[in-house]
Amino acid sequence: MRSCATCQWAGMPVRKVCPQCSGTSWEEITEVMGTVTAVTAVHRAFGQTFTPPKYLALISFPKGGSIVTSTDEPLPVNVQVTIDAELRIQHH
Amino acid sequence: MTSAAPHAPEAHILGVGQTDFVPSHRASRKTSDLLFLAAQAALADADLSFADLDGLGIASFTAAPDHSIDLAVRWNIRPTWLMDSSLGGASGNDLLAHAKTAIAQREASTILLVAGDHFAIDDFEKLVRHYNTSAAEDFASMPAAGPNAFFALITQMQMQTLGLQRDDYGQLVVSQRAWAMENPKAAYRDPLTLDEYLAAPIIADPLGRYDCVPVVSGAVAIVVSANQGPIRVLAVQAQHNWDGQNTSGLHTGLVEAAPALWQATGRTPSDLDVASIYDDYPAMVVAQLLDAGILSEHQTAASLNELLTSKRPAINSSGGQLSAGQAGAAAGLHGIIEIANALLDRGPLSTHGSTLGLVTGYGMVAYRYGACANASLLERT
Repeated sequence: MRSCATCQWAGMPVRKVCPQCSGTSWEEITEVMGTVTAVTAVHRAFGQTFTPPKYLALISFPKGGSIVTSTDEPLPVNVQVTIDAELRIQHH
Repeated sequence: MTSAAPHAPEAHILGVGQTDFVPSHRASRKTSDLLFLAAQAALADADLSFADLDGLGIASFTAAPDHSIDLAVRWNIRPTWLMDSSLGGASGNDLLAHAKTAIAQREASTILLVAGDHFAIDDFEKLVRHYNTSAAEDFASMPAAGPNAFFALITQMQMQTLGLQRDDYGQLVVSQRAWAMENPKAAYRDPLTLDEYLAAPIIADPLGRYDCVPVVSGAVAIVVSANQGPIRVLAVQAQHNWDGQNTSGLHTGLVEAAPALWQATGRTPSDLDVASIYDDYPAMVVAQLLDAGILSEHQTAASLNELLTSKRPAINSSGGQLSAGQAGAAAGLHGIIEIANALLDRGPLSTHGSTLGLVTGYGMVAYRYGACANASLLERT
Protein backbone atom coordinates (compact mmCIF):
# COMPACT_ATOMS: atom_id res chain seq x y z
CA MET A 1 0.00 0.00 0.00
CA ARG A 2 1.08 3.56 -0.68
CA SER A 3 -0.20 6.92 0.42
CA CYS A 4 0.23 10.40 -0.99
CA ALA A 5 3.29 12.03 0.58
CA THR A 6 1.50 15.38 0.61
CA CYS A 7 -2.04 14.68 1.84
CA GLN A 8 -1.83 11.02 2.94
CA TRP A 9 -4.62 9.90 0.58
CA ALA A 10 -4.62 6.13 0.16
CA GLY A 11 -6.67 3.83 -2.00
CA MET A 12 -6.96 1.83 -5.18
CA PRO A 13 -6.32 1.71 -8.04
CA VAL A 14 -2.67 2.72 -7.81
CA ARG A 15 -2.20 6.29 -9.04
CA LYS A 16 0.60 8.41 -10.36
CA VAL A 17 -1.24 11.63 -9.49
CA CYS A 18 -3.17 11.97 -6.23
CA PRO A 19 -6.93 12.39 -6.88
CA GLN A 20 -7.22 14.66 -3.88
CA CYS A 21 -4.27 17.06 -4.03
CA SER A 22 -2.64 16.25 -7.41
CA GLY A 23 0.60 15.40 -5.63
CA THR A 24 2.99 13.04 -7.41
CA SER A 25 5.10 11.78 -4.50
CA TRP A 26 4.11 8.54 -2.81
CA GLU A 27 5.40 6.62 0.18
CA GLU A 28 5.00 3.04 1.30
CA ILE A 29 2.84 2.57 4.38
CA THR A 30 2.69 -0.41 6.68
CA GLU A 31 -0.95 -0.08 7.61
CA VAL A 32 -4.00 2.08 7.09
CA MET A 33 -7.24 2.38 9.05
CA GLY A 34 -10.60 2.22 7.32
CA THR A 35 -14.27 1.43 7.68
CA VAL A 36 -16.10 -1.56 6.28
CA THR A 37 -18.64 0.09 3.96
CA ALA A 38 -20.22 -2.93 2.25
CA VAL A 39 -19.78 -6.68 2.07
CA THR A 40 -20.96 -9.38 -0.29
CA ALA A 41 -20.97 -13.15 -0.38
CA VAL A 42 -20.17 -14.33 -3.89
CA HIS A 43 -21.67 -17.65 -4.97
CA ARG A 44 -20.81 -17.67 -8.66
CA ALA A 45 -18.38 -15.78 -10.86
CA PHE A 46 -18.01 -16.05 -14.61
CA GLY A 47 -15.21 -18.35 -15.65
CA GLN A 48 -14.07 -19.03 -12.10
CA THR A 49 -14.25 -22.20 -10.06
CA PHE A 50 -14.28 -21.91 -6.28
CA THR A 51 -16.08 -23.24 -3.26
CA PRO A 52 -18.79 -20.72 -2.42
CA PRO A 53 -19.35 -18.46 -0.74
CA LYS A 54 -16.38 -16.17 -1.08
CA TYR A 55 -16.56 -12.94 0.88
CA LEU A 56 -15.50 -9.54 -0.40
CA ALA A 57 -15.50 -6.31 1.55
CA LEU A 58 -15.28 -2.68 0.52
CA ILE A 59 -13.07 -0.74 2.92
CA SER A 60 -13.31 3.05 2.76
CA PHE A 61 -10.54 5.31 4.01
CA PRO A 62 -10.95 8.70 5.70
CA LYS A 63 -9.53 10.67 2.76
CA GLY A 64 -12.05 9.20 0.31
CA GLY A 65 -10.08 6.31 -1.17
CA SER A 66 -11.17 2.71 -0.90
CA ILE A 67 -10.12 -0.85 -1.52
CA VAL A 68 -11.90 -4.12 -2.24
CA THR A 69 -10.43 -7.14 -0.51
CA SER A 70 -11.36 -10.73 0.22
CA THR A 71 -12.04 -11.93 3.75
CA ASP A 72 -12.29 -15.37 5.31
CA GLU A 73 -15.50 -14.51 7.11
CA PRO A 74 -18.21 -11.92 6.40
CA LEU A 75 -17.28 -8.69 8.15
CA PRO A 76 -19.93 -6.56 9.86
CA VAL A 77 -20.61 -3.26 8.12
CA ASN A 78 -19.57 0.08 9.64
CA VAL A 79 -16.78 -1.37 11.84
CA GLN A 80 -13.24 0.01 11.92
CA VAL A 81 -10.44 -2.17 10.57
CA THR A 82 -6.75 -1.87 9.89
CA ILE A 83 -5.23 -3.11 6.64
CA ASP A 84 -1.57 -4.01 6.54
CA ALA A 85 0.85 -3.85 3.62
CA GLU A 86 -0.19 -7.35 2.47
CA LEU A 87 -3.86 -6.29 2.53
CA ARG A 88 -4.57 -8.42 5.61
CA ILE A 89 -7.38 -7.08 7.75
CA GLN A 90 -7.29 -6.64 11.50
CA HIS A 91 -10.71 -6.28 13.05
CA HIS A 92 -10.75 -3.74 15.93
CA MET B 1 -20.23 19.79 -25.45
CA THR B 2 -20.81 18.90 -29.06
CA SER B 3 -23.51 21.36 -30.02
CA ALA B 4 -23.05 22.69 -33.53
CA ALA B 5 -21.78 26.14 -34.32
CA PRO B 6 -24.32 28.56 -35.90
CA HIS B 7 -25.36 27.42 -39.38
CA ALA B 8 -23.27 24.28 -39.05
CA PRO B 9 -24.98 21.15 -40.38
CA GLU B 10 -27.08 19.32 -37.81
CA ALA B 11 -26.77 15.59 -37.26
CA HIS B 12 -29.75 13.36 -38.01
CA ILE B 13 -30.26 9.64 -37.68
CA LEU B 14 -31.39 8.30 -41.06
CA GLY B 15 -31.53 4.59 -40.33
CA VAL B 16 -30.98 1.93 -37.70
CA GLY B 17 -30.25 -1.79 -37.89
CA GLN B 18 -29.47 -4.68 -35.62
CA THR B 19 -29.03 -8.41 -35.59
CA ASP B 20 -30.92 -10.70 -33.29
CA PHE B 21 -29.36 -10.83 -29.84
CA VAL B 22 -28.52 -14.46 -29.09
CA PRO B 23 -27.20 -15.97 -25.84
CA SER B 24 -23.49 -16.44 -26.43
CA HIS B 25 -23.50 -20.18 -25.81
CA ARG B 26 -26.01 -20.61 -28.66
CA ALA B 27 -24.45 -18.07 -31.05
CA SER B 28 -22.42 -19.08 -34.06
CA ARG B 29 -21.80 -15.94 -36.12
CA LYS B 30 -18.39 -14.29 -35.93
CA THR B 31 -18.03 -10.68 -34.83
CA SER B 32 -17.09 -9.57 -38.34
CA ASP B 33 -20.29 -11.12 -39.73
CA LEU B 34 -22.46 -9.59 -37.01
CA LEU B 35 -21.05 -6.11 -37.62
CA PHE B 36 -21.63 -6.46 -41.35
CA LEU B 37 -25.21 -7.66 -40.94
CA ALA B 38 -26.06 -4.74 -38.63
CA ALA B 39 -24.37 -2.30 -41.02
CA GLN B 40 -26.31 -3.67 -43.98
CA ALA B 41 -29.59 -3.39 -42.07
CA ALA B 42 -28.95 0.23 -41.05
CA LEU B 43 -27.98 1.22 -44.60
CA ALA B 44 -31.06 -0.48 -46.04
CA ASP B 45 -33.19 1.37 -43.49
CA ALA B 46 -31.63 4.64 -44.65
CA ASP B 47 -31.97 3.64 -48.31
CA LEU B 48 -28.20 4.03 -48.74
CA SER B 49 -25.29 1.81 -49.73
CA PHE B 50 -21.73 1.44 -48.46
CA ALA B 51 -20.59 3.61 -51.39
CA ASP B 52 -22.59 6.55 -49.99
CA LEU B 53 -20.60 6.65 -46.75
CA ASP B 54 -17.74 9.00 -46.00
CA GLY B 55 -17.48 8.20 -42.30
CA LEU B 56 -17.21 5.03 -40.20
CA GLY B 57 -17.03 4.51 -36.45
CA ILE B 58 -16.89 1.19 -34.65
CA ALA B 59 -16.88 -0.19 -31.11
CA SER B 60 -16.09 -3.83 -30.49
CA PHE B 61 -14.06 -5.82 -28.01
CA THR B 62 -13.67 -8.83 -30.29
CA ALA B 63 -13.14 -7.27 -33.71
CA ALA B 64 -9.44 -7.17 -32.83
CA PRO B 65 -6.99 -7.21 -34.42
CA ASP B 66 -9.13 -5.33 -36.92
CA HIS B 67 -10.02 -1.66 -36.52
CA SER B 68 -12.30 0.74 -38.36
CA ILE B 69 -9.88 1.06 -41.27
CA ASP B 70 -9.87 -2.71 -41.76
CA LEU B 71 -13.67 -2.72 -41.93
CA ALA B 72 -13.56 0.24 -44.32
CA VAL B 73 -11.36 -1.80 -46.65
CA ARG B 74 -13.48 -4.94 -46.39
CA TRP B 75 -16.70 -2.98 -46.85
CA ASN B 76 -15.28 -0.76 -49.64
CA ILE B 77 -15.83 2.54 -47.84
CA ARG B 78 -13.62 5.57 -48.70
CA PRO B 79 -13.96 7.59 -45.48
CA THR B 80 -12.74 11.08 -44.66
CA TRP B 81 -13.57 10.34 -41.03
CA LEU B 82 -12.78 7.21 -39.00
CA MET B 83 -13.15 6.41 -35.32
CA ASP B 84 -12.63 3.51 -32.95
CA SER B 85 -14.26 3.94 -29.56
CA SER B 86 -13.00 1.89 -26.64
CA LEU B 87 -15.39 3.22 -24.00
CA GLY B 88 -17.50 0.08 -23.59
CA GLY B 89 -20.93 1.03 -22.28
CA ALA B 90 -20.25 4.67 -23.09
CA SER B 91 -19.03 3.95 -26.63
CA GLY B 92 -22.38 4.53 -28.38
CA ASN B 93 -22.78 8.09 -27.19
CA ASP B 94 -19.03 8.57 -27.62
CA LEU B 95 -19.30 7.64 -31.30
CA LEU B 96 -22.43 9.75 -31.71
CA ALA B 97 -20.84 12.80 -30.09
CA HIS B 98 -17.84 12.68 -32.39
CA ALA B 99 -19.96 11.95 -35.46
CA LYS B 100 -22.12 14.96 -34.62
CA THR B 101 -19.03 17.14 -34.37
CA ALA B 102 -17.61 15.72 -37.60
CA ILE B 103 -20.83 16.61 -39.40
CA ALA B 104 -20.92 20.09 -37.89
CA GLN B 105 -17.30 20.62 -38.96
CA ARG B 106 -18.06 19.20 -42.43
CA GLU B 107 -15.43 16.49 -41.99
CA ALA B 108 -17.99 13.94 -43.18
CA SER B 109 -21.64 13.99 -44.18
CA THR B 110 -22.83 10.38 -44.02
CA ILE B 111 -21.45 8.27 -41.19
CA LEU B 112 -22.08 4.67 -40.24
CA LEU B 113 -21.68 3.80 -36.54
CA VAL B 114 -21.59 0.10 -35.76
CA ALA B 115 -20.92 -1.87 -32.59
CA GLY B 116 -21.12 -5.47 -31.55
CA ASP B 117 -19.43 -8.61 -30.36
CA HIS B 118 -19.53 -12.35 -30.37
CA PHE B 119 -18.01 -13.87 -27.27
CA ALA B 120 -16.95 -17.45 -27.12
CA ILE B 121 -16.72 -18.54 -23.46
CA ASP B 122 -12.96 -18.02 -23.38
CA ASP B 123 -13.27 -14.58 -25.00
CA PHE B 124 -15.46 -13.17 -22.25
CA GLU B 125 -13.35 -14.63 -19.47
CA LYS B 126 -10.24 -13.07 -21.04
CA LEU B 127 -12.01 -9.74 -21.38
CA VAL B 128 -12.99 -9.71 -17.71
CA ARG B 129 -9.56 -10.79 -16.49
CA HIS B 130 -7.61 -8.39 -18.70
CA TYR B 131 -10.06 -5.51 -18.85
CA ASN B 132 -7.44 -3.10 -17.54
CA THR B 133 -4.44 -3.05 -15.23
CA SER B 134 -6.58 -3.29 -12.10
CA ALA B 135 -8.36 -6.38 -13.36
CA ALA B 136 -5.11 -7.98 -14.51
CA GLU B 137 -3.09 -7.17 -11.40
CA ASP B 138 -5.15 -6.01 -8.41
CA PHE B 139 -7.80 -8.71 -8.67
CA ALA B 140 -5.88 -11.49 -10.40
CA SER B 141 -5.48 -13.50 -7.20
CA MET B 142 -8.77 -12.54 -5.54
CA PRO B 143 -11.33 -15.32 -5.92
CA ALA B 144 -14.77 -14.18 -7.03
CA ALA B 145 -13.79 -10.57 -7.73
CA GLY B 146 -15.38 -9.15 -10.86
CA PRO B 147 -18.20 -6.94 -12.08
CA ASN B 148 -21.00 -8.88 -10.37
CA ALA B 149 -19.25 -8.66 -6.99
CA PHE B 150 -18.34 -5.00 -7.42
CA PHE B 151 -21.89 -3.99 -8.29
CA ALA B 152 -23.22 -6.16 -5.47
CA LEU B 153 -21.22 -3.89 -3.14
CA ILE B 154 -22.63 -0.79 -4.86
CA THR B 155 -26.15 -2.20 -4.56
CA GLN B 156 -25.67 -2.93 -0.84
CA MET B 157 -24.66 0.69 -0.28
CA GLN B 158 -27.50 2.04 -2.40
CA MET B 159 -30.06 -0.06 -0.52
CA GLN B 160 -28.74 1.30 2.75
CA THR B 161 -28.61 4.90 1.53
CA LEU B 162 -31.97 5.06 -0.23
CA GLY B 163 -33.93 2.51 1.79
CA LEU B 164 -34.50 0.25 -1.23
CA GLN B 165 -35.36 -3.44 -1.00
CA ARG B 166 -34.83 -6.30 -3.45
CA ASP B 167 -38.48 -5.96 -4.44
CA ASP B 168 -37.81 -2.46 -5.74
CA TYR B 169 -35.06 -3.64 -8.06
CA GLY B 170 -37.25 -6.60 -8.96
CA GLN B 171 -40.04 -4.34 -10.16
CA LEU B 172 -37.60 -2.67 -12.53
CA VAL B 173 -36.31 -6.01 -13.85
CA VAL B 174 -39.82 -7.42 -14.29
CA SER B 175 -40.93 -4.22 -16.02
CA GLN B 176 -38.05 -4.49 -18.48
CA ARG B 177 -38.84 -8.13 -19.18
CA ALA B 178 -42.39 -7.07 -20.07
CA TRP B 179 -40.94 -4.60 -22.57
CA ALA B 180 -38.63 -7.31 -23.98
CA MET B 181 -41.64 -9.50 -24.72
CA GLU B 182 -42.53 -6.90 -27.36
CA ASN B 183 -39.01 -6.88 -28.84
CA PRO B 184 -38.49 -9.79 -31.26
CA LYS B 185 -34.73 -9.25 -31.26
CA ALA B 186 -34.34 -9.53 -27.47
CA ALA B 187 -32.52 -12.60 -26.20
CA TYR B 188 -34.82 -13.21 -23.21
CA ARG B 189 -38.56 -12.79 -23.81
CA ASP B 190 -40.23 -15.29 -21.49
CA PRO B 191 -42.58 -13.74 -18.92
CA LEU B 192 -40.95 -13.03 -15.56
CA THR B 193 -42.77 -12.49 -12.28
CA LEU B 194 -41.53 -10.76 -9.15
CA ASP B 195 -41.69 -14.08 -7.29
CA GLU B 196 -39.48 -15.72 -9.93
CA TYR B 197 -37.06 -12.79 -9.70
CA LEU B 198 -36.83 -13.11 -5.93
CA ALA B 199 -36.47 -16.91 -6.05
CA ALA B 200 -33.63 -16.90 -8.59
CA PRO B 201 -30.20 -18.09 -7.41
CA ILE B 202 -28.07 -15.47 -5.68
CA ILE B 203 -24.93 -14.64 -7.66
CA ALA B 204 -23.36 -12.10 -5.29
CA ASP B 205 -25.53 -11.01 -2.40
CA PRO B 206 -27.90 -9.16 -2.95
CA LEU B 207 -27.72 -9.67 -6.71
CA GLY B 208 -29.65 -12.58 -8.12
CA ARG B 209 -29.47 -14.06 -11.58
CA TYR B 210 -31.86 -11.51 -13.11
CA ASP B 211 -29.89 -8.54 -11.72
CA CYS B 212 -26.77 -9.49 -13.70
CA VAL B 213 -26.71 -8.48 -17.33
CA PRO B 214 -26.62 -11.55 -19.59
CA VAL B 215 -23.84 -11.81 -22.17
CA VAL B 216 -25.15 -12.24 -25.72
CA SER B 217 -23.84 -12.04 -29.25
CA GLY B 218 -25.12 -9.37 -31.59
CA ALA B 219 -24.50 -6.06 -33.29
CA VAL B 220 -26.27 -2.74 -33.87
CA ALA B 221 -25.70 0.13 -36.27
CA ILE B 222 -27.00 3.59 -37.10
CA VAL B 223 -26.52 5.98 -40.01
CA VAL B 224 -25.87 9.59 -38.97
CA SER B 225 -26.14 12.24 -41.65
CA ALA B 226 -25.99 15.95 -42.38
CA ASN B 227 -29.13 15.44 -44.45
CA GLN B 228 -32.54 15.96 -42.93
CA GLY B 229 -33.85 12.78 -41.33
CA PRO B 230 -36.58 11.57 -39.01
CA ILE B 231 -34.50 11.99 -35.83
CA ARG B 232 -32.41 14.98 -34.83
CA VAL B 233 -29.44 14.54 -32.48
CA LEU B 234 -30.09 17.50 -30.20
CA ALA B 235 -27.00 17.21 -28.02
CA VAL B 236 -24.52 14.80 -26.50
CA GLN B 237 -22.78 15.48 -23.22
CA ALA B 238 -20.04 13.48 -21.48
CA GLN B 239 -18.37 13.61 -18.10
CA HIS B 240 -15.73 10.96 -17.55
CA ASN B 241 -13.83 10.32 -14.30
CA TRP B 242 -16.02 13.01 -12.74
CA ASP B 243 -15.08 12.06 -9.18
CA GLY B 244 -11.50 10.90 -9.71
CA GLN B 245 -12.77 7.42 -8.77
CA ASN B 246 -12.65 8.71 -5.23
CA THR B 247 -16.27 8.45 -4.06
CA SER B 248 -18.71 5.71 -3.16
CA GLY B 249 -19.71 5.12 -6.78
CA LEU B 250 -23.36 5.74 -5.96
CA HIS B 251 -23.44 8.57 -8.49
CA THR B 252 -22.16 8.69 -12.05
CA GLY B 253 -20.73 11.43 -14.26
CA LEU B 254 -24.31 12.00 -15.35
CA VAL B 255 -24.78 14.03 -12.19
CA GLU B 256 -22.73 16.73 -13.95
CA ALA B 257 -23.45 15.87 -17.59
CA ALA B 258 -27.25 15.81 -17.35
CA PRO B 259 -27.73 19.39 -16.07
CA ALA B 260 -25.49 20.58 -18.91
CA LEU B 261 -27.58 18.58 -21.38
CA TRP B 262 -30.84 20.08 -20.13
CA GLN B 263 -29.39 23.57 -20.16
CA ALA B 264 -27.94 23.25 -23.67
CA THR B 265 -31.21 22.03 -25.16
CA GLY B 266 -33.79 23.91 -23.11
CA ARG B 267 -35.49 20.58 -22.34
CA THR B 268 -36.20 19.09 -18.93
CA PRO B 269 -36.66 15.55 -17.61
CA SER B 270 -40.42 16.07 -17.61
CA ASP B 271 -40.31 16.54 -21.40
CA LEU B 272 -39.08 12.97 -21.95
CA ASP B 273 -41.35 10.37 -23.52
CA VAL B 274 -38.76 7.57 -23.49
CA ALA B 275 -35.42 7.00 -21.78
CA SER B 276 -32.80 4.32 -22.28
CA ILE B 277 -30.84 4.12 -19.05
CA TYR B 278 -27.68 2.02 -19.20
CA ASP B 279 -28.60 -1.12 -17.30
CA ASP B 280 -25.72 -3.42 -16.57
CA TYR B 281 -27.23 -3.70 -13.07
CA PRO B 282 -30.54 -2.36 -11.68
CA ALA B 283 -28.73 -0.26 -9.08
CA MET B 284 -27.01 1.68 -11.85
CA VAL B 285 -30.37 2.39 -13.48
CA VAL B 286 -31.55 3.86 -10.19
CA ALA B 287 -28.31 5.85 -9.84
CA GLN B 288 -28.60 7.33 -13.32
CA LEU B 289 -32.33 8.08 -12.98
CA LEU B 290 -31.41 10.10 -9.90
CA ASP B 291 -28.43 11.75 -11.58
CA ALA B 292 -30.50 12.68 -14.64
CA GLY B 293 -33.20 14.27 -12.50
CA ILE B 294 -35.86 11.74 -13.51
CA LEU B 295 -36.13 10.27 -10.00
CA SER B 296 -35.99 12.02 -6.66
CA GLU B 297 -33.86 10.81 -3.73
CA HIS B 298 -36.84 11.65 -1.53
CA GLN B 299 -38.89 8.45 -1.20
CA THR B 300 -36.98 6.77 -3.99
CA ALA B 301 -38.84 3.47 -3.76
CA ALA B 302 -42.24 5.11 -4.16
CA SER B 303 -40.90 7.39 -6.86
CA LEU B 304 -39.48 4.42 -8.79
CA ASN B 305 -42.75 2.52 -8.51
CA GLU B 306 -44.68 5.52 -9.79
CA LEU B 307 -42.26 5.91 -12.71
CA LEU B 308 -42.53 2.26 -13.75
CA THR B 309 -46.30 2.32 -13.44
CA SER B 310 -46.86 5.58 -15.30
CA LYS B 311 -44.28 4.74 -18.00
CA ARG B 312 -43.69 8.45 -18.28
CA PRO B 313 -41.03 8.35 -19.49
CA ALA B 314 -40.94 4.71 -20.62
CA ILE B 315 -37.72 3.24 -19.24
CA ASN B 316 -35.69 0.76 -21.32
CA SER B 317 -38.56 -0.04 -23.66
CA SER B 318 -36.57 -2.62 -25.66
CA GLY B 319 -36.21 -4.69 -22.50
CA GLY B 320 -32.88 -3.05 -21.81
CA GLN B 321 -29.75 -5.10 -21.62
CA LEU B 322 -31.07 -7.00 -18.62
CA SER B 323 -33.55 -8.77 -20.92
CA ALA B 324 -32.46 -7.97 -24.49
CA GLY B 325 -28.89 -8.86 -23.55
CA GLN B 326 -25.49 -7.19 -23.51
CA ALA B 327 -23.71 -7.78 -26.80
CA GLY B 328 -20.32 -6.51 -25.66
CA ALA B 329 -19.58 -3.06 -27.04
CA ALA B 330 -23.01 -3.03 -28.71
CA ALA B 331 -24.21 -2.19 -25.21
CA GLY B 332 -23.18 1.39 -25.82
CA LEU B 333 -25.19 1.75 -29.01
CA HIS B 334 -28.13 -0.42 -27.94
CA GLY B 335 -29.87 2.47 -26.18
CA ILE B 336 -29.67 4.71 -29.25
CA ILE B 337 -31.36 2.00 -31.32
CA GLU B 338 -34.03 1.59 -28.65
CA ILE B 339 -34.85 5.30 -28.55
CA ALA B 340 -34.66 5.65 -32.34
CA ASN B 341 -37.17 2.82 -32.68
CA ALA B 342 -39.51 4.56 -30.23
CA LEU B 343 -39.22 7.86 -32.10
CA LEU B 344 -39.88 6.05 -35.40
CA ASP B 345 -42.99 4.35 -33.96
CA ARG B 346 -41.30 0.96 -34.29
CA GLY B 347 -41.12 0.18 -30.60
CA PRO B 348 -43.88 -1.12 -28.32
CA LEU B 349 -47.27 0.35 -29.14
CA SER B 350 -47.40 2.41 -25.96
CA THR B 351 -44.24 4.29 -27.02
CA HIS B 352 -45.66 5.32 -30.40
CA GLY B 353 -45.94 9.06 -30.77
CA SER B 354 -42.84 9.68 -28.65
CA THR B 355 -41.01 12.86 -29.60
CA LEU B 356 -38.11 13.15 -27.16
CA GLY B 357 -35.78 10.47 -25.82
CA LEU B 358 -32.75 10.28 -23.56
CA VAL B 359 -29.93 7.76 -23.96
CA THR B 360 -27.38 7.31 -21.20
CA GLY B 361 -24.06 5.51 -21.41
CA TYR B 362 -22.04 4.22 -18.49
CA GLY B 363 -19.08 1.94 -18.19
CA MET B 364 -15.39 1.17 -18.07
CA VAL B 365 -14.90 -0.15 -14.54
CA ALA B 366 -11.56 1.41 -13.67
CA TYR B 367 -11.42 -0.35 -10.31
CA ARG B 368 -14.82 -1.15 -8.81
CA TYR B 369 -17.28 1.10 -10.66
CA GLY B 370 -17.64 2.82 -14.01
CA ALA B 371 -15.46 5.80 -14.86
CA CYS B 372 -17.27 6.85 -18.04
CA ALA B 373 -20.66 8.52 -18.40
CA ASN B 374 -22.43 10.32 -21.21
CA ALA B 375 -25.90 11.07 -22.46
CA SER B 376 -27.63 12.12 -25.65
CA LEU B 377 -30.99 13.69 -26.39
CA LEU B 378 -32.77 12.57 -29.56
CA GLU B 379 -35.84 14.28 -30.99
CA ARG B 380 -38.35 13.36 -33.67
CA THR B 381 -38.24 15.95 -36.43
